[in-house]
Amino acid sequence: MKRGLIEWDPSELPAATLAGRVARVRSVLAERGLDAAVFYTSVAQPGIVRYLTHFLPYWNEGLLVLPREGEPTLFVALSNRVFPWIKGSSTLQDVRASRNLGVDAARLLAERGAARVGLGDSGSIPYRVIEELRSNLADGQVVDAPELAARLCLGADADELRLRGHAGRIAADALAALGPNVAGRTDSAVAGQLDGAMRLNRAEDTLVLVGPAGRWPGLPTGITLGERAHVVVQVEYKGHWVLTGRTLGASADAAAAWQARLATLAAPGRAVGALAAEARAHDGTEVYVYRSGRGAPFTALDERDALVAGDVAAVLAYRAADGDDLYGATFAVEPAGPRPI
Amino acid sequence: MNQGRYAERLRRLRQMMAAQQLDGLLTYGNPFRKDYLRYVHPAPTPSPYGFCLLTPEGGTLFVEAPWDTLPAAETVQEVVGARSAAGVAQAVAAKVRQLGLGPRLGLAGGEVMESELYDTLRERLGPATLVPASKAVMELRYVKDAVELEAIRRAAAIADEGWKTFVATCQPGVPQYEITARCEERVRELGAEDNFMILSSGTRDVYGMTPPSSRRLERGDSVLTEFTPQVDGYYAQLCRSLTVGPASPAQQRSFAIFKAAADAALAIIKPGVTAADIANAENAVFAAEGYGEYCSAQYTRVRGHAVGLHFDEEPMLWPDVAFTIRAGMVLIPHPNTYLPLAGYMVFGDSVLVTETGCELITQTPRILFEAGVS
Repeated sequence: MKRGLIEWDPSELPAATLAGRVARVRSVLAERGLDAAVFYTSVAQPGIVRYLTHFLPYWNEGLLVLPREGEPTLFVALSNRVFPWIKGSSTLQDVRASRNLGVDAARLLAERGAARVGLGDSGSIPYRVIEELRSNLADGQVVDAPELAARLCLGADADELRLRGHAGRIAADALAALGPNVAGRTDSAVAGQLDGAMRLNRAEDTLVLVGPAGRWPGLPTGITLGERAHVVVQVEYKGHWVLTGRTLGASADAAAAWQARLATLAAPGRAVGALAAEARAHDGTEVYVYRSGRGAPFTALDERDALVAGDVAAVLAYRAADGDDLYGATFAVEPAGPRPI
Repeated sequence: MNQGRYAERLRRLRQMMAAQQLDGLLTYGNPFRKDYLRYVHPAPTPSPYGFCLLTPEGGTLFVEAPWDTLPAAETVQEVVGARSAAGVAQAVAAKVRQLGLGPRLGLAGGEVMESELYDTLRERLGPATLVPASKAVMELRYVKDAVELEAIRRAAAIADEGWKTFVATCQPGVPQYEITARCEERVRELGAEDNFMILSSGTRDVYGMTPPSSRRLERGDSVLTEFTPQVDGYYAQLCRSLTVGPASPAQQRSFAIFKAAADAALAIIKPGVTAADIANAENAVFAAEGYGEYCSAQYTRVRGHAVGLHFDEEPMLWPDVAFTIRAGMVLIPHPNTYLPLAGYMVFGDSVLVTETGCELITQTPRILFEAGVS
């Protein structure tokens, strides 16, 4: 749940950067002959709306109507009393309360005479919202426009990589302060310390999984940890997520070796299923690969999926045999190969 | 099949399925809302996306791998993992076809389901058709069973402890986000899975609560929060306000109105009253003090609500909500609103509706706290 420090500091993420991202979307609208784009956002998947405007719904959901020209409009299921906060923490100025996002967005699009509307990242939009849009606009007026999201994924801009790096340092600092020895502490206490440290360091959101040796870590349940324990930390800073994982109580040499191995698993162009099968056959390691969309947390890739240059990816690996190791790291996937964040 | 302490819940769910002529019940959860999923599968899962399929004979949990390897709740006999969210939806559809379920498959929690997953299900289910079932399941969720009440009481106890940390942290110069960080650490240490918490600080310029900012507390500020820890899936909420330093006469006067309004709600809550009755009881106090206009949507969202697997559960306490309150519901009547006396203020406790009235679940003193005053 979003409850960390959520503020927009233009000196850290310049308005020009956000405007540049919006311009990329508008260029796709022009190419496709679309009058507007519609993007969904929620507390769980702030997504492209966050990436374009810096708006983060700290709970509930919203729908952004981005016309090819003119001011974007946000419909949001939040009270009008928090609109000053929305306007102060994002580039948005036209914000409207809505209980039926699709209906209200359709009405605005009709009023403005939008003949063709593109759904950005339609798969992530709740089906009820899409049905509201389609049923309140003419047949054929609403079209899928995956290019809207895809164009934004053609490489991270410098600000994104810098802010992801900052998120990575927040996680690293919290883990360093925790130290390697958690024997006798509960998973809840460990999660609490990490969570508190990251929020104190201005994290927007966190997700901490902790568990004893012998299995994947999970949400804390109050169990007491031994000398060896596993932890996975995800942290968000200014809309930019990183994931890291490690085995507490393991040697520094083992950690370094795993970091090097993770980088080989984040290579572009290889199907996740093939990577995972190879790692399993090699030494029983289980591998999972995730992609962090623009403004979004990590999403798991399927067996047939492959990373491509421009992705921000995380790899999580666990080997039960030979020491019981769990490690995870985030990479910028570049044409020359993965670069650790 | 031994489904232990959830046997009664499962019996009621299956009874509902029979009454609704549902051949199976599918509950869905994503990072936005997992409440329907957890009603049927109470154990927490780190999987961002998950389904639980309940049939007349058994239950299956579907989650992303590797989280399928973690301990599952005793309500299911099987756990199926897939690498991606779409893969999870495909696995659900395959199971439905394998079991020959249909023609009516209830879907609860589907309102937040992403179209990619919904389309995957719809295209692959075979003869089964998805039938909206959130309302039917919510009907069962209104009244809490013993297991649910135990979790809510534990969450309330953590809210009480967490509030102590909140008060201790509120010193002049402390940024708002530090308050959140200290409280988050404390409630997690105490066993909370999550904590919905918004806050604000300031005086008459404060019109509502948001996530924390970097604003630093000043002497004379009112600091207020909705503090909502989650334990075993269940939330309890505590609404309290404090002043940094001694409360001013205006803050004291304002708080007295909020407390009187909350007391009016507690006095009226019992089975048979409506959500509107409770809201009106609160609003009448403000009106009698000459502040009736501040009970409108311009200044306040709701006058309280239920809590449970969602921190903002139906019914909302509002003058046009005719919902009849039942014994066993857990409510948080909170007359939170803006008043020109001292700005936005909050006050409220989670209560269990009993046969004759209501019982406070949160135990924090019902006062206006003063931080930094020895």
